[in-house]
Amino acid sequence: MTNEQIKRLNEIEKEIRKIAEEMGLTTTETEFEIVSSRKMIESMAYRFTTNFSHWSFGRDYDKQKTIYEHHGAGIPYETVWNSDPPKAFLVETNPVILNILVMAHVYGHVDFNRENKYMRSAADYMDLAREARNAETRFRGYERKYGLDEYEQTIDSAFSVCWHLPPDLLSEQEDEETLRERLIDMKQSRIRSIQKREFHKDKSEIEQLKQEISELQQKTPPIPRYDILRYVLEKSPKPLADWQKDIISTIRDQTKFFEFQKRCKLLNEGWATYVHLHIMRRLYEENLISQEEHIEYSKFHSKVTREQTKTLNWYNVGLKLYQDLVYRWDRGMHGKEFRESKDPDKWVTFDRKAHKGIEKIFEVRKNYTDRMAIEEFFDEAFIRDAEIYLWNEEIDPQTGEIKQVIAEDDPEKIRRTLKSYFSLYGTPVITIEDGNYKDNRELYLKHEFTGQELNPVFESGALENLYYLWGRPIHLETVELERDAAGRPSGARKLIHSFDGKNHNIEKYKLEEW
Amino acid sequence: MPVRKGSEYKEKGKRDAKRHREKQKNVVKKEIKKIVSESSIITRKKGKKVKIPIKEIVIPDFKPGNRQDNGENTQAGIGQGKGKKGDVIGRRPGTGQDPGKPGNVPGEDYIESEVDIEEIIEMMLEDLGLPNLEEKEDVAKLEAISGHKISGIRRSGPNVLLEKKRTSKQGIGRFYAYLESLKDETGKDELTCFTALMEANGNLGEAISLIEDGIKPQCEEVEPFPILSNEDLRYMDIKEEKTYHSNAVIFAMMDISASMTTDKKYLARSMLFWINEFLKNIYEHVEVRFIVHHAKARLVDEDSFFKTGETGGTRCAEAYSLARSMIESHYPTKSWNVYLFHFSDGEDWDVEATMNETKKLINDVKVNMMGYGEIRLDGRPFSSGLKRAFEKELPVRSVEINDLNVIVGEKNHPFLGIVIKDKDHIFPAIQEFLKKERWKA
Repeated sequence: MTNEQIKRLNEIEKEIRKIAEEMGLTTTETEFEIVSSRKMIESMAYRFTTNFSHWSFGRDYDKQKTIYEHHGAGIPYETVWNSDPPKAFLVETNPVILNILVMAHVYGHVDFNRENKYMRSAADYMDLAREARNAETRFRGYERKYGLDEYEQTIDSAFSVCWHLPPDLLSEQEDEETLRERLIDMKQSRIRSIQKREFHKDKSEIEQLKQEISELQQKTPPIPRYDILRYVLEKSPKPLADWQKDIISTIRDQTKFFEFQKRCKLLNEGWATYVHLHIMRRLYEENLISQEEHIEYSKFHSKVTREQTKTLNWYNVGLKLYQDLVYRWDRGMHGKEFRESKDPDKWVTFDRKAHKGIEKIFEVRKNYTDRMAIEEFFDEAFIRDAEIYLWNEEIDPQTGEIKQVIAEDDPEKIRRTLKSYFSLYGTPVITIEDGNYKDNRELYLKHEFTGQELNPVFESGALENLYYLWGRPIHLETVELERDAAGRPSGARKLIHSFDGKNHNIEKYKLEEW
Repeated sequence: MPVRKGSEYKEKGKRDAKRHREKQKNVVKKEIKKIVSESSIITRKKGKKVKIPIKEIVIPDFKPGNRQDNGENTQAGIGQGKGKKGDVIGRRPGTGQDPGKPGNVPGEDYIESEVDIEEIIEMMLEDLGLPNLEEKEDVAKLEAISGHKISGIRRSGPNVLLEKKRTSKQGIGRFYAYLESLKDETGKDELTCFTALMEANGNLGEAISLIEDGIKPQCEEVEPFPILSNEDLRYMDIKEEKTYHSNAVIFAMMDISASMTTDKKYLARSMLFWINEFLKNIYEHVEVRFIVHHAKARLVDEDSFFKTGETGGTRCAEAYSLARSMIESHYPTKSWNVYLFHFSDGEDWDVEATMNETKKLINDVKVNMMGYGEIRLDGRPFSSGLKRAFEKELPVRSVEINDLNVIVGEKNHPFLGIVIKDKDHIFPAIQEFLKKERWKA
């Protein structure tokens, strides 16, 4: 990139920030670093500008690099870190107009990360980029000192279970003893209030509560917990070395940070796309980009927002969502009156001239997570307009090939599936039931069955890895479906999969209800 | 300026990517037994690449999957586009369509990848090679030029090899010698003599006449220059560097008689395919001769060896005797390392003749190794089986190694027999046949 071009990018950056502010966005000084495509790909694989060393990052780097350098696909263009100040990369070999587009897009993210309630609560983790750099140095020492095998096994194991976080990321902040005390306090005040009664002093209820208190005093965890790595750090009988604890807690922090982002992915990308669309139009109107550049930009834009047959394109659906909201709230197409007039013919002309569209999307970007937005706004009309469907695979009996087939185009069923997917965010819910199982410091986990079985091969591997962190037998309770000849579920068994460090053992119990 | 050039960076991903590939290789190594017994490899069309499933290593985690299909379930997801229920949006090969796909190992996903046969061989046979390989006395034919080496300085040679430093040193020496003799001859001062010598371009006779003609000194000091005569030229002497290889010849022999069913022949071919590929790979000068036999034996080329199928009775001795006459005429054991690998189902019409030929090969011809693989698919020993005759007639002992029944000869009796019962025996049997350290010490 020439100095002339860098100068121009700086001028346009100023303009972009100005337009963003005129739009009502929150901006802050943002660092744009011009890097090689390799550096960009690398930072995408390592999740930060730099991070500790691990083969899985190398694998992702290798794969992405090959796709880009040998097939010319997967052109890397956008990464932005929600750090303070925010930081983004521009690829030096990308066309200038693509870099301008990226800057416009990044200012959308900057606003979202600063304004969205949920992303704001991730602000505690803003230093993670810097910490990742420090982790790189520290971990290099661990690798040298304790050997590659132990180093990798520790990271592999932590990665195996790191996504098991509380459904509400802001819960489980207190440590186990504080939680225990709080729970016991609650029960004791119940006892006191019963004792204060003049009548109905139910002895048996008090006995019951006392019993529960004594259980709480002994039990670990006192109530089922979700955060597996945290529990390992607090309670593992292994014992883990300090350097291993450092690795585990670093991975836990990083994962938690990404989990915040994951839960607003649709809204965040949609917002940034909505913003860049607006900013790019303004830049063109103000003659800051030429007509040729505008055509080139439009090509990139439609490529980025293209519908994908086998996955949801966040950029596409997110943008459509905001555009839909603007349209509907500008015309007042919401609320009781609108719902009751559910006649498609009337929708076309329905207009209460409310002009609340922009206000509405600012509110959504401030207060919503993806799950909330899907629940509220993904109605039949939207799902149909966005052409969202569910697909699955069928084996072609003639060729043995696997066919990918549209399985569902009924908006209501799609909505239900999207809702359940976004409430779990793809990770099955597993709770820690008992950290002192059989009074032997064995770990007992329970999978909350919601109709989806666990992949048994990966389950075995994950149990083995968790064993490495816990050092004592692990038990996982889950459910296995019985199927009829057509493969449809016809019954279920409770299944307890145990691993004792050497052998896997599976016990099955017939379930009457499931 | 918020937009600025990033600093230089070192490619961190490279090292970690290498580590991932190492891990992949280790996985392939673990699967090598299955890959080696894969029929598509030996029946492939020409070319060195084979497709084998290589796993992309992933970290196992708790994730959705169909238990009944061992997690190898069909996928499902959300997508976008025009279309209605039942429309096909894509296809991929089914798992059942790839018979060579190794079984499930926790936490590993497959991607199909092209791999060089060389690479498989490398992974497959790390410590293997030809057992009993000897340095043969008469190796003249086997030299290979591996480079050049300066071995000294000589007085003649091509211009490119002119050794300039030494040559000019000689020339400067000659300059001073000429200068001294000019002074002696003419009695003139050094500068006059130098000027003359320079004007005469180093020709002594001409310089003398120039001095006699009264040349005046034209410079202030003597600046020596090399005066070269042919005898001053120095050339580098180079010698070709040669490495000496002990040549080896392999006789690959296979029974193609009626009793060798397709399945048996497949096992024999697999074994010989890998032995052949492997040896060609590590030894530059290995020759492989192919002999097929039923009641008669004949020499064939590589292609037909792996394709021929015939019927008829079985006389193994025919093949051994053909090999022996080839050795005597073309590959005398004085200069050649000779290896024989023979695969049959143990059926032989004339066991006695075969034993005699074997003994001749080992005791008289003194081949380096005689390998025999007996393919027994039914697991039932033939009552007239060759293996049993070998056990009885040769100084060998029977051992169980890696689930294999192996008969091994003494050190001075390099015979190795292996019973191969199924595909799974291919890899361990190759390991036994090519154990470099066997019969050492």
